[in-house]
Amino acid sequence: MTDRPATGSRHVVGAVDDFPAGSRRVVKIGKRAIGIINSGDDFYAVLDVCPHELVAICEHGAVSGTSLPSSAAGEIEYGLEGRVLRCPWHGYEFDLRSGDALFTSFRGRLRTFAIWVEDGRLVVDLDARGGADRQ
Amino acid sequence: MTSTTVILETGNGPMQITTVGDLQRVQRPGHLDDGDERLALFAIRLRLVHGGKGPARMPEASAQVTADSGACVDADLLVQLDDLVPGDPVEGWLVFELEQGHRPSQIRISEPGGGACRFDLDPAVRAEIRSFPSWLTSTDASA
Repeated sequence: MTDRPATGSRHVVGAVDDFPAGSRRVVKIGKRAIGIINSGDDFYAVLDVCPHELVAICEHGAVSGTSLPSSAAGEIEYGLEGRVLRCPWHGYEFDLRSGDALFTSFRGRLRTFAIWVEDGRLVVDLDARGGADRQ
Repeated sequence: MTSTTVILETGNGPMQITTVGDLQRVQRPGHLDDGDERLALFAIRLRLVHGGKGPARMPEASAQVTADSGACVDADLLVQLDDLVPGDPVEGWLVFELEQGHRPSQIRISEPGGGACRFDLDPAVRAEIRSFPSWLTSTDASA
């Protein structure tokens, strides 16, 4: 296991250059397996556990967009490109920003963590949810 | 495992929390690129029923697990707790990792502005093994 510099709940997971656009890597922070995802537009940090059946979701899951609800029959709108993580097993889709399952009554939530760039390094805060403003 | 129910007093009224089914030991070999095999992933399913009078939210609820070794670790609740309706149950997993060979003995759930509740678990009770199809856990992309 790699030791990662930490200040309280905040952990440096590596240099930004180690996580190029389109990359996904699972790192260990403390006792948690955290998936670090660079969608090209943004960084995301999520617990590597699907809230549906507990499979590791990051390594074999797909990061993409999804079909959005449409009010007109026969029309399909595609959106949220780069913000959706799809589980490889049953296809559940989760918003990488909020962790919410998309367009389903399923009440599971992907655990998200705040992540940001600081001095060329990626920092994850295990006490703050993704999408939340950094303190 | 015998189902256990506790009451968590939240800022929005009481929340009934019940364990559902057996403790799960999740087997996911090879899922980490820095492969740490010293840790074991556990999960227990919880059913939460909001007993207040109006809609409630408790997104900042947190959980900690104490192992039979005495070590305490943070746990993650994988369930949406933003729009709780009185009497409408929601179910989700509580997941945590412990050192290999150890078992959880206590789960503590708390909410800022509210209280805390505790489940006592019997570390002697074996967890149900939860495994997955090999293609989901293999690090070989062609598998």
